[in-house]
Amino acid sequence: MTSLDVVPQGLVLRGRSQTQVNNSIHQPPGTKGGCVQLSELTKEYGGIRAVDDVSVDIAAGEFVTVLGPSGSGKTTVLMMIAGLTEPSAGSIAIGGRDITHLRPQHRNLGVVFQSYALFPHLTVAENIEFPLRMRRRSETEVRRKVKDMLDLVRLPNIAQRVPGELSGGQQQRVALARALIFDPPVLLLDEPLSALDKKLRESMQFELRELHRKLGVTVINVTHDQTEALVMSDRVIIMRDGRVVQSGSPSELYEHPKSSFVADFLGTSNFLKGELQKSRDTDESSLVTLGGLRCRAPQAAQGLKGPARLMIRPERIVLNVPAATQEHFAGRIAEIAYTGDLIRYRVALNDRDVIDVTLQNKSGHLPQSSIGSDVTVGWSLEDVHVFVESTTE
Amino acid sequence: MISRVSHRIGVISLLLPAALLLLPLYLYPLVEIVSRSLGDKGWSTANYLELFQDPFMLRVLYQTFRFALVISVLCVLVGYPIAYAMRIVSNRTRRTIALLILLPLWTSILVRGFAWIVILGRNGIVNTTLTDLGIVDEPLKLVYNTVGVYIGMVHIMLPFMVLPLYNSLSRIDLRLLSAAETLGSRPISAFFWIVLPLSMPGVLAGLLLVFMSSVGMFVLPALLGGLSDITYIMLIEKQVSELNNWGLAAAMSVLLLVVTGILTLLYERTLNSEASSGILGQIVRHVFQRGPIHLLVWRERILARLLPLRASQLANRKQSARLAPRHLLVKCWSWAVLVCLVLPLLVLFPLAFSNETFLHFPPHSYSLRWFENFFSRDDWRTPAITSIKVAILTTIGAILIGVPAAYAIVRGRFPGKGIVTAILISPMIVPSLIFAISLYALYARFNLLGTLGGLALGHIIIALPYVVVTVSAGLKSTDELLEAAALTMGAGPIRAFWIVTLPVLRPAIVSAAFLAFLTSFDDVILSLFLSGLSAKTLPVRMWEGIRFEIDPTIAAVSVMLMLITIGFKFAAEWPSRRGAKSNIPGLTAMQAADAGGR
Ligand SMILES: Nc1ncnc2c1ncn2[C@@H]1O[C@H](COP(=O)(O)OP(=O)(O)OP(=O)(O)O)[C@@H](O)[C@H]1O
Ligand SMILES: [Mg+2]
Repeated sequence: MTSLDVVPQGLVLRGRSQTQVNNSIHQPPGTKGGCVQLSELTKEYGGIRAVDDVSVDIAAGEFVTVLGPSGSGKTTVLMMIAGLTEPSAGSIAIGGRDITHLRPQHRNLGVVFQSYALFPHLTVAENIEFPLRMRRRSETEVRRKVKDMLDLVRLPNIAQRVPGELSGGQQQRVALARALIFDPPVLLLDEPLSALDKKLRESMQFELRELHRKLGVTVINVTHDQTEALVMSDRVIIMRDGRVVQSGSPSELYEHPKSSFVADFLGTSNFLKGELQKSRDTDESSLVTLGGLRCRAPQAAQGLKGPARLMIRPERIVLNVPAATQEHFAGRIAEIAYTGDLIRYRVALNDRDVIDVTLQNKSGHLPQSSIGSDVTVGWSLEDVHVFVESTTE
Repeated sequence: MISRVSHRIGVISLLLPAALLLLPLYLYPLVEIVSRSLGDKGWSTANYLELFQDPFMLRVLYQTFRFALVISVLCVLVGYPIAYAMRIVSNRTRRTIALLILLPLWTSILVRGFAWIVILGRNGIVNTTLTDLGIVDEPLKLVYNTVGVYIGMVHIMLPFMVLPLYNSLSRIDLRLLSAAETLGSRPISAFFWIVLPLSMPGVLAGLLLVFMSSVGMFVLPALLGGLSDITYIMLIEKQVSELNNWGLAAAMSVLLLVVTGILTLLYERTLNSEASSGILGQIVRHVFQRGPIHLLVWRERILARLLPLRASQLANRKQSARLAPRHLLVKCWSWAVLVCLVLPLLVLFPLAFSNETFLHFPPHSYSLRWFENFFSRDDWRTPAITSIKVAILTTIGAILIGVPAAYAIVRGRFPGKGIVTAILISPMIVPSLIFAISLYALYARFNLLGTLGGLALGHIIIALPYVVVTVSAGLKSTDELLEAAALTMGAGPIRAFWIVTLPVLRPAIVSAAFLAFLTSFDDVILSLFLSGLSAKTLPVRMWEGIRFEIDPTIAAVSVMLMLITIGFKFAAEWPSRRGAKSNIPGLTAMQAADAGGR
């Protein structure tokens, strides 16, 4: 399914102004992040476009997450920035300097690989100091920096162990320390947290944010975990089939998805399928669902026509307070799921239209209801999004 | 459920045929060698004293070790890039490379020796080309000397180096290289500090394997070497066949057996050194794997002392643009070496069809006369028929004895399993010449020399390890639960094996049969000692031919042998075409053990 209002191909996202980009060129290397510009970046594998015309500007010091389903080309973008994959077309600039054809060892970027890629025969300290050895830094500097780094990632006592003797979280931190020790202006992370369990992942998200704030390094993080993207990033870039679909701050993307793909991918959504029609008496558009309900469309969707989907987030729907809402419909509870902090209700409005409602598990706020009981669901128009479906489908 | 007692009985009956063969014809003769080395009556160390006091003997021993060492090092240098190329190319290319590496291995050692004589000889291809081009006036002496032995030996030993190397390289995550590059190291230094140290267990294993096999090698040094290139093993042969000095020969053999045994143990340990916490694992880890990084650190420290300004200069190193294709050098080198592996064999084809009385390359005119010569002359035809008969007997025997034994050591649970396995596989490791003289002594007493059956029994023993290793590998990769499932459905253990396990094992058994046939058909040493005049085999006839009269019939025979082998190989692969992955005969066997001095 594709919707009409997807971002046009090769949208150039120039979120921050050009001046910022120019500023960062003159920053002394290593103390601050560098800006990254990808223009019309394309990678073909035997005729298949793994990355298709991606143009993104990332400001110095920004924490950007590239989010997308498996196979959408996230890793390929990252590896092209790192210099480990050669782009088929397009260019990459860091700190205003074109590095498209520079070898990886001259790019001065910190990369944390999904598998961490720690050198198994070297100790933690030797792993961390490796970049400095390659740069032929003095012995005293190496010593000092390794110690600083181990403190920074809170692993002061394991310098002499080998990676095989570390836990997943510790390995992750060693990889991070190794990528940061040479003060790279940009840090690239390829699903750095995907190998960790949920608890550890959450605390590492927090630590990564903190590190980012402390060091001011530009971070480009790749993930397919939407929560991670929302929690950590200043900006999220959503990719699909090698293209950028939408980019913006987490709240922007969540509140104003430009396509049903984004709405579906980020958070959970209710979709009501139907046909957009103009009502006879007023001049307002409304969506007639498959089950025959007539739902009013928001201001933004006025004037649109044809098959469409109406989207409402489950947490924006209220149960049994018809007076407080602009739109309400009667339904019957089909299912109730208890998840602790939240209660999920599945409400059947008729035999075709089903809607999920999420309520906070607060005393006094829950309707006294069980499966089969009648309820009303209601929402305000500002929480409604309408996506017109393309006719090709 | 199978009770413990019946399990025991099952294991014993599966191992019985192997025991009946190996105890009298393999273990007993070897024990006899040990006892002979200690003198004919009682315990005497006279033979050992003689061995260690004879300066000539010691010099030959030293020479042999040096010779084996040079070959091992040459093999590492030539073979490492190939193993590395195998690691980085696509699966299809990898299979092609593996095939090209193994192809020479399936051709008789005599054929390969002969090919080198034709290429490197005084009137060989290299020399005629060079003199025709006017590059040299005198033909170079490339064969019947040390150079010739080195060339021939590297050609033969290369697969034994490449496969363990590839094995250990394949366990390295190549993303480590990418990681090293993003951390600022050049591709070449990333290789030296990361990949090379990590592949050290493979390098050591390959070195040991090649060293051990080279020490025990008899045929090739005898063919390609000069008078001064006498090796320890040739000296043993001389003691037996010319001087009839059995005591000394036995002592020399025992010494070689001990050395080979120690090397085998080391080899096995290095292969598993990553996991082992023993002293060898420590050495491999600390010296070979972590050594390079210490070197790097010390180099930097010393350079910083000597050239304090250098660091800042290096920081401003020119940032070069990307070189075009990666690993170009490695790939070119690998293909060149692979061509060198296969080309010598191809050279024989035009020669076999030449119409000239002398070997001349390329021939001026072509004919089938040398093939006609082969089929019309009894002194060629009879040995060929003998060879085929013996090889067929060997194949049947080795499969009938080896498959149950493999089943017992993989599925059975019994004390002493390790020792039984070691004994079954050891004929691969014991230098053939030592086994040949020990069996020769036994057969001479029982008048078994020159009998077809006697020769076939000997061949079964040296073919058994290949069968056991190949079938064991096949069994290990089939699910034991399949049989259990059949048992729960009411099949007896024998029926379960017959209808479930055997069909799954068929590719492994076919490839084991192929190896057994080849082992017998190619064997020179055992046949040389055991066949006498009445059971002369084709390799023995060729051996005589190559040593005494180089005539193009040998090229014709070689070509036929190669075609038969390749035909067999594809026949062996045929049944598994439609099913799972086809296995390359010999790959598993090779990975498990060595050439054992053919
Ligand atoms: N070396 C390659 N050769 C051919 N195709 C490739 C190669 N690397 C990636 N691709 C293809 O490019 C597309 C994008 O791959 P990529 O690894 O960038 O996806 P991803 O977004 O990182 O996915 P995941 O979340 O699963 O890691 C996929 O369709 C993949 O099959
Ligand atoms: Mg990926």
